[in-house]
Amino acid sequence: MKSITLQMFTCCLFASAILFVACNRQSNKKVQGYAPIYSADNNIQMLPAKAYIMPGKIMTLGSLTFQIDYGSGVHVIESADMANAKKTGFISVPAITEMHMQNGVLFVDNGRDLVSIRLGNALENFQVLDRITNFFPDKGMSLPSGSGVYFECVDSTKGVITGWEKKELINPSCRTI
Amino acid sequence: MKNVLIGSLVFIVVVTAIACTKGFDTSSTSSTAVASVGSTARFAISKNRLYALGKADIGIVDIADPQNLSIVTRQNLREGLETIYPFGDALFIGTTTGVYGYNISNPNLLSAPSFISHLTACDPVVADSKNIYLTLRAGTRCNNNINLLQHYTYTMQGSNAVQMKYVTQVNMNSPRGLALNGQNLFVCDIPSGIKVFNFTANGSPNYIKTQPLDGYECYDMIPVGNKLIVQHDKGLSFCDVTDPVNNFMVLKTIE
Repeated sequence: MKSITLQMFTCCLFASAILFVACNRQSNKKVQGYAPIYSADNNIQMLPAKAYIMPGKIMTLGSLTFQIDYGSGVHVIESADMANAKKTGFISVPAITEMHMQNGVLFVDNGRDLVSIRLGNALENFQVLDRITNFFPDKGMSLPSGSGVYFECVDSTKGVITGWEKKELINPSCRTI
Repeated sequence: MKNVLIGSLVFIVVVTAIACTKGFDTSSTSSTAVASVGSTARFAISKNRLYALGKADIGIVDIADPQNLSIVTRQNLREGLETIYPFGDALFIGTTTGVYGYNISNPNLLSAPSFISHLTACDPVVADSKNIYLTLRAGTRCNNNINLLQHYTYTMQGSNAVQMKYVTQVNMNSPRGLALNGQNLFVCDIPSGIKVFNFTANGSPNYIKTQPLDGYECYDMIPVGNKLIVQHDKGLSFCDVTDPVNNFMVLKTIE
């Protein structure tokens, strides 16, 4: 019985998908745009090196250079020998826009919070040290910059927007003026 | 008895040491290493304080103990804060309508405000001990049709206000961040690349050449001795600018 229900459901879903596609065949266009990042996400962690999505501001201290990827985190680049510099890791910091560093401690905005992070020499020494919540109370009120830019419409039930990330959008109905 | 004496002595020495550390600023000692950031930064660090721009205010945070961040103060400024750049006891804040100069000889407070207005535009700022260089760019957010590099001079004594004075300006196409390394001034200008300047006797920028950047859009730079780290639309590039006129060398691009 359960299986039949499931099959019916799948069938209906399939049918409605076809209908949906049919209805939108003319205007089902994919465009590059931006999707909002909501404030609930505060998961900071050290990850392996990854490709740039939206490269942003830079910073250097000693043998390391850092580059923000807007809204998602910080690329760590070993640059003691600049001619052979290479990415060595990525610190995920949702909704990041700014960073600074003193004595091996990274300071970032993580959404509306200000956070201090000790990097340490080894991965296992990576540690979130402190967090001041809501330090940037007015952050993220603006839309993506530029005019005529497509973005995923804001769903205020998901929280407050703290940043924007690049995303392929299908028939977006929101666009900056 | 002897042990107690030694114990007390050690205790006194330790307490004194702690008291001294608290009483004196330790940021000028070699043990404090502060990162270099670009001219478009909105965070600055000076004397164990983090200065963070908000939309219309600045937050000052004591970061001496990074496990226990404490907000020193929050000062209301005005709308349109863009960038922040400290030099010694002077702190400059670029806004969409002009440049703020502050005295931060007391790091817990932005004091003795002065303001010099320019046309409405986006404006990253860099400074040395007597010059301020900034770029003004037209843009949707910044509502104007001007693209300039401007030079100001300034003086600041003790706890007095920064005295700023306009000197000159140079036309640009669509300028972004800028970097100063003692010998040269570098300015990102889209789409041509990096404009290289040296200086006239009074510190004004003197245009030498434009360095193309392999089609990348240059957004900002950090000078590191005779090297330049360039932030662009695809990632970053490390450059050697020992002889930027004859041999502007891209050492490595990460994209």
